[in-house]
Order: sequence, then C-alpha cells, then structure tokens
Amino acid sequence: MTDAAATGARIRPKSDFDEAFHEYIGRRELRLPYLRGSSTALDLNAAPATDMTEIEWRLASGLAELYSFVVYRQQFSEDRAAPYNVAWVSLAEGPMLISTVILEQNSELRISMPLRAEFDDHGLLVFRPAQNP
Amino acid sequence: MTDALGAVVGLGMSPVSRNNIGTTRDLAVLAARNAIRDAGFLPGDVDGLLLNRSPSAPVKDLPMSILADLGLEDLGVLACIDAEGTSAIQMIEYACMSIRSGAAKAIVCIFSDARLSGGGGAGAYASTMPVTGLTGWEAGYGLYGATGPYGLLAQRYLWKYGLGCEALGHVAISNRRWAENNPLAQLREPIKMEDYLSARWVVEPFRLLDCAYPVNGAAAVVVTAPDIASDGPVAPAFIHGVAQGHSGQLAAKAIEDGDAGAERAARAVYAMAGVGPGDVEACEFYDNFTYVTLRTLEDYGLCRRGEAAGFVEAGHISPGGRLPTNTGGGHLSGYYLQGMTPVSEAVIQIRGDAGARQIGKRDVILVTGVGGMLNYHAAMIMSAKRRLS
Repeated sequence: MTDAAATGARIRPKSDFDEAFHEYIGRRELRLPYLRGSSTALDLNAAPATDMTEIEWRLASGLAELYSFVVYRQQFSEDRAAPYNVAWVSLAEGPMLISTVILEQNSELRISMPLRAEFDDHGLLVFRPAQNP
Repeated sequence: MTDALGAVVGLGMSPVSRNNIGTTRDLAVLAARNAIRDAGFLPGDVDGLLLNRSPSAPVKDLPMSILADLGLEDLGVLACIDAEGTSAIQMIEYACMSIRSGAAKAIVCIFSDARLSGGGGAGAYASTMPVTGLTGWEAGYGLYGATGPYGLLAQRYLWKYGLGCEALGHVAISNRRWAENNPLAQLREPIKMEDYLSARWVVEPFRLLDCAYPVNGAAAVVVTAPDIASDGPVAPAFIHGVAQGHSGQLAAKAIEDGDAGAERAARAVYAMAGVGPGDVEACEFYDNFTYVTLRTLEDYGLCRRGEAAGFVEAGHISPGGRLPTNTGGGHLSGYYLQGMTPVSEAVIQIRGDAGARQIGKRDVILVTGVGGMLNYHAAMIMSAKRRLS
C-alpha cells in the first residue's frame, strides 16, 4: 500500500490533471474542470491542487475575450518562423489559456476583442475573432 | 535606532562580455577572488559560500566543489540558491541570517553565467515559461523566453492605463542616460525616443531596447556582521531590511489587483528597515524589461497604480531626478547579471565610487529582484549608514 492510499489521500499528481486536459484536447474537445455541483470553473493553474475525484470536466462554450497578446517578430526557435502571435485569452467560463488568434487579412488584434475557439487542421486549439454578442 | 542586519564589505566582478571569456565556473572564481581581495580578506577568513547560476544553466556549471578552486575550507555554510531573479537578494538574506545565527562570519555570494557564445542573446532563451500551468502547453504556441510572457503583461498594462509604447521608451532612455557615465555598462551610446522607436522588434510590444542585455560574466559580494564591516578597507554597504514575497497568484490577477507577492515583500522590507516608500532615496531594480521598472515603482509604493509612466516621463528616475533609479544603466544598458546588477550598483553608489553618475543621498536605497512571470519577489534596503534614524 502506498502512503497516499494509507492516508486515504485522493489528490493526484499534477501529471494526472495535465493528462486529462490534454486527452480531451486530443479529441478536439475544450473541457474545463469544475468541482462537482459547482457552476464555477476552476483556474487551470490552481486546479491540480484539487481533489481529482471531485473534478468533472465540462465542455467549454468556446467563447472568450482577448486578455493580452504578443507578436513574435524575432525567431526564437528553428521550428517556428516569425512573425506569429501568441494570445492570452480569458474564457467566458473564467479560466485563462495561452493560444493564438487566426486573423483575416487586414484585421488586427486588440485587447478585449471577442473570440471563439476552434481546432485547426492539426488539432491545435486556436481562436478566431467573433462577433459581439 | 536598530543596528543593520549585516553589511556587504567586498564586491568583485569578472570581465563581462557577449563573447566566450571562460566557463561559468572560471568567471565565478575570478569574481569571488576579487570580492575577497576587495574586502581585505584572505580565503582563510571566509567561512561561508552561497552560489547562484542562471535558471537555464545546469547545476554542474557552478557546483559546490568550486570551494576548492577558491582555496576555501572549513566552511560553516555552503549552498546553491535557485530562486530565479530573486536569488541575488536571497543569497544576501541567507548570509545575514547565517551570520546572525553564528553559523559563519564572512560569506561569499556569487552569481555567474556564461551561456552566450558570441553575438545576440535570444538563442539562449528559447525555452518556455509556464503561464497556464499545463505542462508543455506554451511550447505549442511558441511562447518562448521571458520576453513573450512579460510582453503579455506589458501589453495589458499599456492598454489598461491608455499608454503608448513611448511609456516603455522613457524607461530605456533613462537607463541609457545613467549608463553613459558607467564604465562597466555595455551600452553607453546616448539614445533618444526616435532611436527607441526605430529599434527592431523582438516580441511586440518589446523592441530590442526594452530587453535586458545578456552577457557572460560573474559578480560576487562578501557579507559580514555590521561590527566587523567597519574594520575593512572599503566603506560598508549596510543591509537594513531584506524580505521576500511569493503570492502564487496568477499573473493576470496581479495586473488587475496589484501584486500580492511584491506587496508582501515591500511591506516586510520597509518594516524591517523602519522606513517607508517616502524615505527611499534611490532604487536599483531587477529590470529584465522596461515594463518591470514601471511595475516595480508601483508595487513598492513609490508611485500610485498607473502613474509610474508619467513619473518616469517627468524625469524623476533619470540623472538629476528626485528618485534616481537603475543608476548604472540597469540590466537594459548596463549588464544582465540577473539580480547581481542592482546589488553591485547599490554597493558602488553607497561607497561613493560611482564617478560622474554618483548620486547624493544614499541612506535608503531600495534593491529588488523578480522571478517567474512576476511570481517571485525579493527586496532589500541598503545604506551607507549603520543605523537609520
């Protein structure tokens, strides 16, 4: 019996939390962690410290707002050519994610713009500008 | 009046360069020997050693066994401090605590780094910093280096307070004005706003002149008790407060509500030194990016939230200003020795050795360190005086 089992602890390592999140993403589903019965999504940074057996993963609306962004103009890594943007998005449910915004030509990023999530051809979670509700 | 917690009685540096000038270990030895000599000590007088390397450097680059290279033996204190940009101040904090506990009498604290092989710096920073807390997530979007994460913070800050990129430019220009009179500074050519605005982008909103100037190099200090300090050949830099603050708070929340980690460090360091923000006469910040200087002025109560840009634009942190800040050019124009830069400049100013950039008042100098994505904070109050009234 492990120490954790002996004490009845049910908090799992962070890797289990990551694995669950990534598994849903692999299925092209953006799901967020909630405590059972709660209507408030858990912060992704704080959620791994929560009892995993109390977490349920609910499908996100995909609606978000651009919290901040950067544009890489200098190439930092051989496998990614600049320029490209990295977006910090605030999901409608509360948690924040790093992603990228796919822009149409002649459009630009502005903080607080509404966004909608989608998966690109490679299964990467990306965002596109959305119409204001 | 309370006595100082300790004092920096020796300062030593290695050569500093973008070129390969030796290993991390070689440079550390040079800096430490210079610091020990500066203090008027022999290796046998030293009985404690604290080490700090860059977060991206392997442990073997700066191992504890370096004590043999320095001819040190019979130590009461030996450790590696690994706390990112707060490490330099933390080393001095643990040195003061060890001395007060009786574990050691004279402790050498070294930072050393030698990752650059010539030319630019970005290649050494192509790792990712966690923002979401999801392992490997940021790499999928190319959020490399500290430049991207701090750029996210800066972009939001500028938007929140309705500021243009010139707000960052004024910080870069102020640093450069100080660096013009610092023979140790790497970038001393005067710059104006048009130079700042025409500098190439690195990660928008940061241009090249918004970013720290990476170098290979090492810096070391010798810390002793205050009563030993006055016997040495150099003027001691007394330590009156040293504190940390780590909120664990999300960076996004920190932007909106103020940074609880920095606020804790500020509250503690001022209380320990018996001073307040209004008493601070000069600042040496961990300015890895221009934006951090604006944030730090606000986090430590030197400006109200959202008012730092106006304060900087008015020239208050520049030469001749009422709150001289980053008086050697800081990490941006001076040299990026990751926290030892502000420490070294505070010591130089307190000794009165700063030549044409020498500031007048140096009884209360605030020195800060930050790590993570502003997740970790440390602060120190240094002074030319052993007792603050």
